[in-house]
Amino acid sequence: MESPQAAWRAAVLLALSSLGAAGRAAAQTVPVPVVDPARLKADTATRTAEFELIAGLTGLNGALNFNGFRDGGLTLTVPKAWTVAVHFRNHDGMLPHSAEVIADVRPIPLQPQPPAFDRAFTLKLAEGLPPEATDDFRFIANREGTFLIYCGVPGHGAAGMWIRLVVSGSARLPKLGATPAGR
Amino acid sequence: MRQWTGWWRPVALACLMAAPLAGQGSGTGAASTAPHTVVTNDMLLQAAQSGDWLMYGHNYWNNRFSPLATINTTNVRNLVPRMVFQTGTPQLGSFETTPVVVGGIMYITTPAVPNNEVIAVDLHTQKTLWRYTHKNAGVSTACCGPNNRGVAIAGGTLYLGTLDGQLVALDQATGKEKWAAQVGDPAEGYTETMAPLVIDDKVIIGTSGAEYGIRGFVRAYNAATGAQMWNWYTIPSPQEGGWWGRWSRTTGEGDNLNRNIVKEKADSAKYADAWMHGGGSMWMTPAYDAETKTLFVGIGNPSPDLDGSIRPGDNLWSESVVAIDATTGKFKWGYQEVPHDVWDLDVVSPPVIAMLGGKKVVVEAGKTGWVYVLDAATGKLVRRSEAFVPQENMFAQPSDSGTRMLPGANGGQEWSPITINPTLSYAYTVGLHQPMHYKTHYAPWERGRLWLGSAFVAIPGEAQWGNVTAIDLATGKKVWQVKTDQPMMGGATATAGGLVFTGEGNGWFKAYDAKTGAVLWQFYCGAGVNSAPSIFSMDGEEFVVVAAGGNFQLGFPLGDAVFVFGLPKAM
Repeated sequence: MESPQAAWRAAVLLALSSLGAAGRAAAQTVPVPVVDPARLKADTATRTAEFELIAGLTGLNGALNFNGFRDGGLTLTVPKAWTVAVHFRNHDGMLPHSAEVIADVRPIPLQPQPPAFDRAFTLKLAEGLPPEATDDFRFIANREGTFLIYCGVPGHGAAGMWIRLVVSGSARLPKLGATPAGR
Repeated sequence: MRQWTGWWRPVALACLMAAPLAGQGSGTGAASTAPHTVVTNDMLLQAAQSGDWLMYGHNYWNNRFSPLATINTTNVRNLVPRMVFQTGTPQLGSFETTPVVVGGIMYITTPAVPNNEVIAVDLHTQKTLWRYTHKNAGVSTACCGPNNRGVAIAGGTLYLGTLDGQLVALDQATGKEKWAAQVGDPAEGYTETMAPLVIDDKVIIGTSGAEYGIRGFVRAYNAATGAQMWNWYTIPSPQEGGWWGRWSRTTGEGDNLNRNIVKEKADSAKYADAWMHGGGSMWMTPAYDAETKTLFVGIGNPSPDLDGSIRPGDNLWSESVVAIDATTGKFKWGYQEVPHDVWDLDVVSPPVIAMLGGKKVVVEAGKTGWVYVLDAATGKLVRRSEAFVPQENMFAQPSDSGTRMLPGANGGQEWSPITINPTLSYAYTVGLHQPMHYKTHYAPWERGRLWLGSAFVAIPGEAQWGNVTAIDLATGKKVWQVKTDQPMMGGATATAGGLVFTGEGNGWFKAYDAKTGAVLWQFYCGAGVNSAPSIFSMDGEEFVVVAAGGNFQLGFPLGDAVFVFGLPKAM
């Protein structure tokens, strides 16, 4: 059953999305991505961050986005040494997608890269998983630094399908926040 | 990343050893001395009668109909793999090549992941004669995955379109590059996946990229030098008459398009420059009528795909079959299947010329799920067929919350070429059933960014499947239809032996009875058969060749094998 808190968040998101629709009726405006904190859960007992990662959640960037963000516009921060459990789903009806955690490099690579952490990638990294397919991966964030959560299908990451992961030695809890987008 | 489990390799090898192609064992060194038959203009003009496979659609009419009949409805059940060739590319992708086969030499292309390759294989000796690699510049603008559909050949030269927007000419005998012309800038979305077409001294090529806000074109290049000879933009500028059209409230056949014409007209000044990024890809090889020197071209979606609010008007000549003078590049006529399309219902499957009741017609299977028959001289609609896939909520406007509509964004008929049996006057389509929600999502154009103005969302729990359909061009009625487990993508080829060959994403390659639709033969290829086959003769035998390497977009198992099938060789 949905918690009251989750229901409240859903109501806020619905209101924001309705405002966006009304705005478009008057003049074309770019929908503003909304951070959905319900996508992240923290278990302090097991020091595990559960993150729901959805490829193609919205039409932003031709659906080449994660959770509605592109070009690093969303940052997942996790405390060092926590386990990160990523629950991946491809919501894009047209294209296969995948996800992996890679080093923060520029230019953004065209092809899949060696993962920054052991096992930090989905199945079929280059081929991608088809619409509505799911995959889970878990890794231990045992190194501080900034990394990219990146679609490994050739060309997708370079086209903006990436967000950020920060492994922090000072953070006490995982958090999810909007960050300035940039290539 | 390969999907192969490897089980089939010894089987294939055994088949190869048990039933070699003609000529094997005639001596080593044949690879270096193999004669490459120079393809002349006369050969191209007579291709319909040829036992070779000289161009993407077999002949200028593009009907993929081979006159060969040695393999027929009575003996096709005996077909066996006589050779399996693996490209050995370091990465796999959608393998969509149609092999060109001339004098027993096969020319194939690989999926361009990351580089475009052309391989010449001597089928007599089963040796690779040469391999050309074009190192692509980094391309992140191949909307539906890197691929390549084949080469053109004439006058001792092969012509290849590359993912990074070049047209390259290769020496047929050596694979050495003769010249390269930059057709479009891949950083803006201009990419090449189609097989070019050679007509006299010209190489015809278009461009992909309407998912990135390009302005599409059809071009002719000098076959000897690579110099551009003419250009025709698929999206006319205001000086060329504009792309607004007649502000059609309905399709040409009377279906309500649910447009708000008043609002579009009111917004037309605001979006006066929209044509500059108006899209209109030419994805596939056109048909050519040598008698009237006319090209028949299929033009794809406008940009952005689903958001029509920022591109008022009919958006000519997107979603159209267009006739162009092949000598000058001048426009002759156009028939727009979907004015002001907001459903990505491209005209992408290649047009085909046929004779119908003594009249020359152009046939095109749309992503709409209908087959259109047009008068080749005037572009007037002769008839539209029965729908060959389920249609639901057709032409309902996409919405913020999502609008369910069938066919889905892949059609209907995708890029897959149809085939026509001219004796029966049947067209054979390969269709897709993919229910989707169409959601609008406003976005401004950005250079080199995927620009759909939308999201296509699969509907969880809804089955997706495909079909193979024979349509009588004289009546527009379905003659037979066979359902397939998965959406169809790849294309079909027919023969005078009364057969239709096509493959499926699950790895099955099948021969159908052209009259009844009965499956007469099938072979499991181990990876998706998502390419259109070729038929050819060599040393008196008939062969069927098809690439079995899957499809990236639909998630069909990838591979790198090219199968050559024939009747068992007498011991």
